Amino acid sequence: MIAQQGILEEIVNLRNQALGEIMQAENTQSLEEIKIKYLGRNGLINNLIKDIKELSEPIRKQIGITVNDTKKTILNEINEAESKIKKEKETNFDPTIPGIKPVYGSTHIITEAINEIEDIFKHLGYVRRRYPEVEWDWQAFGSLNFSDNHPARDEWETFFIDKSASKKFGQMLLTPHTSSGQVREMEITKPPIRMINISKTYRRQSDASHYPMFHQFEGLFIDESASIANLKGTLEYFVHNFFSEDRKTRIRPYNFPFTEPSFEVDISCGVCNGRGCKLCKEGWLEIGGAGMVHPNVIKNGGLDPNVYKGFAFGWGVERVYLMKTNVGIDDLRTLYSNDIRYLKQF
Amino acid sequence: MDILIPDIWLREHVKTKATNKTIAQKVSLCGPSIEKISGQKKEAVYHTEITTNRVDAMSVHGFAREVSAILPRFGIEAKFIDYPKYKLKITDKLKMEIKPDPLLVNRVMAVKIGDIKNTKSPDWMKKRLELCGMRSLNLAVDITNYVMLECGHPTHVFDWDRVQSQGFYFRLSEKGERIVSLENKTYTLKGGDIVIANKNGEIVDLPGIIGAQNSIVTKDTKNILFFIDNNDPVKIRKTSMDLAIRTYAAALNEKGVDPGLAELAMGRAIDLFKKIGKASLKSDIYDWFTNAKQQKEIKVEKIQIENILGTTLTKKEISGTLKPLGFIPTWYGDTLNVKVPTFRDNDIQIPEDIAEEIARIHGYFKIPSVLPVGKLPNAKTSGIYAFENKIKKYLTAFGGHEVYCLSLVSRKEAGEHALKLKNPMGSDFEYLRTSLYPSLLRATQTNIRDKNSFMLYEIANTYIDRRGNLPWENPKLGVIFHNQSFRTAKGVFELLLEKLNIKYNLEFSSTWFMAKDKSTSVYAHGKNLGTFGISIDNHPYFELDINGLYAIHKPNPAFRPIPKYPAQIEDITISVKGSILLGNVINNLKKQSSKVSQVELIDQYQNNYTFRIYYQDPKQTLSDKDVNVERKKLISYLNKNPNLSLKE
Repeated sequence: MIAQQGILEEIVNLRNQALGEIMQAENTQSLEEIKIKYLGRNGLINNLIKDIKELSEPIRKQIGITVNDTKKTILNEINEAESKIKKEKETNFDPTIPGIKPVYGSTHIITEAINEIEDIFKHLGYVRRRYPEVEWDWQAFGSLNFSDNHPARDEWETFFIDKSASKKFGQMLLTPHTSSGQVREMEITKPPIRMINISKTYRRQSDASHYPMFHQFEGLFIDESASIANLKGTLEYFVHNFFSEDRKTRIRPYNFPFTEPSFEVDISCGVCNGRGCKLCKEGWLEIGGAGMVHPNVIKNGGLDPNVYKGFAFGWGVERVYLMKTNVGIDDLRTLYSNDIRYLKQF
Repeated sequence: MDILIPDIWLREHVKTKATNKTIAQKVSLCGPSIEKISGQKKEAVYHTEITTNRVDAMSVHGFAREVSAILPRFGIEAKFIDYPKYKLKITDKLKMEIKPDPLLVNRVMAVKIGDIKNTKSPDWMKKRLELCGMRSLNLAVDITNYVMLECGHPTHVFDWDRVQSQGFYFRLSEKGERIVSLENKTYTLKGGDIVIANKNGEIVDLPGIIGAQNSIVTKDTKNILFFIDNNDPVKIRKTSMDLAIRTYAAALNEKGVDPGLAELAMGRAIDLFKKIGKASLKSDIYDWFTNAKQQKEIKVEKIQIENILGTTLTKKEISGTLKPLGFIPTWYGDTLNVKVPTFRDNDIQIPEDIAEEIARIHGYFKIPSVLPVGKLPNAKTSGIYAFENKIKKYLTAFGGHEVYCLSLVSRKEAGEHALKLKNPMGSDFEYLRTSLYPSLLRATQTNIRDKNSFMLYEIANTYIDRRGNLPWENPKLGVIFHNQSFRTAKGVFELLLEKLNIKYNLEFSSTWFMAKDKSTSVYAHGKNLGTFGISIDNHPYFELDINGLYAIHKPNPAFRPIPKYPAQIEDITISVKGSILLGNVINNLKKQSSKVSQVELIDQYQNNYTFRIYYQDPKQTLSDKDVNVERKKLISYLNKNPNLSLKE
């Protein structure tokens, strides 16, 4: 019994030893050596069972089975290792083979643009807001100093909701600009106010540069002092961060009911660097409107215009994004086509 | 409004050596924007965009004033050439009855002109009209247009012999009244339009907008009535828009032309009739001007101006910007009193308006760019935006494509409690959506090609009508799958909610866009978060409430220690009969033993499901014997259920 146990243990030990050596073998020659060392006629296993004849029949049989299994296992491992080594020799390392890509979707560029804009103004202490898309006339026009007969109130400019008007706030409509958040912000925040309202806006038009729905971002700054110089500084900060340091800005006179003075803001063309090309006007591109908040608007927000001053600007998210020179989309409606073949590219 | 200003004409009103390119560049920076210059040399025309508040600059003369104020700021000489003072003999002795209504009309001037050779206009006049986009008709009409383009006040001519005995009576129209325009088109009035009628009540003119067939001059006209009227701009705009008559005159008049310009226009017209038409005055000049306004004065402090600009200016600099624009500035200490010219009466109302004039003529480009300093606001940005971005980040990583759909849908796609537009751009865009599903379905359909499969998602508002109030704008997440199994969709759904640390359960229920018996409501913390299942168009779809998710999600999940002792893992295959829900089977398996930490579905073949069971004890490594005990509990559960059986 003891001898039998001893032999079986020895066989297992030899097997483990052999498998370890096979794993470490680096070429077919050393595998051949291992083969002879363990499985050869005078190999370690045969040597071990030389005296097996002296044991009783059932024990001999059991040992025989174990030995055969072990030999088979070792041989198999040697063959496998051999073919692996041969295969490795045959296959070249090919860095040009096409990879297997993970599945990944896409985030819309409008989302990317909104996040970029929010981030830039965050650094200047601006608080992000989202004000109603369906608004009253009061927030969209009345409080912003629009005259009763202003063309923006016309049915071919602004979408109106088919509901009876409020006695206090007028007609219900789809807001045509994010400026409708100005008075709302003044009503809930005591100055200083630094707000960036990014929301969906709607106008009754559709062509290469317009879609009935678009996004605007509206900056509103209200404090005890606010100057044109401050507005210029803020716009420049945005342009340098959103576009690049080498883009210049300028403001030109314009007219909006809710700002006084009002400006049109231009940035230097990124294609010709301000020299003038067919994409721009004498080296400049119009980016949007801005101005110093009209005292009536501050008053309508429940603040004293003698104490508080402000500036505001409201620009199109899609528009500024498409003005980045590397985008190259010439029809704004493409952004709303929802074609995966476009979406994937971003 | 886009106004065309011929260069050759402009230079009669401002004397400068500046090239037209320089004029365009400099004026655009400080005044009206010049979009381009068309034509060469004598035919060069400035295409200007003049904002509606600056109707005073919508004429050659008015524009010249801007040019003459701006160019010197750049060191370029420019001298404004004003009209000579016309000596008009105003006596009101016109042998014709004119009855303006002071509620509708600001001013009327009229004169009889005779002996006119009403033939062709001289070539230079024709050319200038043409450069401004106008057709030459006959001398009398051409002079009215020429004077309007040059002075900025619309004017009109009638055939004296046709209208004199009938009289002119201003009144509001009745609904249904008709007028045949000088272009021989018949218009039916909506009522409330300013009209000039004769003593029989017949309409002979739509003042400020267009003339009538029954009063116009013809080639046989001997005597004309030269006529200037200044009317309520709001009524002019309404009539002009209602009838879609967008004449040049109407476009100017609706913006509130200064009635003070009428004298200038009258003087200039008489001048031209005499010089070109060899005509003579046949009457004194009639002038009815009851609504004449006092010249307005505005006071503004020096410091106030400087605070708005954000830079300092001397008193002299300030006055210097205002004078060439026609303002009369006078200093009293540091207080500036500004007399506003009548042609800027509508536009200039408050001290800020004065500051704007000073700032733009001084030059916005000279004002420094300085970021504001001061306290930061107390308000905080809501976490909802970052939360939405987090969801987008996950869904993109799971292979979803984000789309932006129009919020407007057709009636069929609108659902209940939807808001309807009064003036939609078509019946496909008539309602505000109450669910994202119909638009996501449209987006899906535009993308179906070959045998492709994809996932689209959107986060956007839905709009639910609330009586007497603004609608409830409720942001939702919609995720639609095309050509992907329900299990794939379920995986996305599970992993998303897992990432947001939201525990939920699903209960069968259906909404209008989901297939019956194939959709569920998603509940968490007792709240309905939305719907998940198969849509009526057979797409796996889920729509969840963003605010609801935001309220219950855990941004900072509690850290769970990694088990110290390994799990024993085994796979078992269960045959399922009838309509048994796998979720229940899994939950029940877990319930049978406190040592079962996890049950995973790893394979499915027909009605056979292979589950991977994790046996685990936090305090020790389980032995085979321990596992045997637990396994028996599971088997006894399966044995008790006639619909479930263990496959060996």
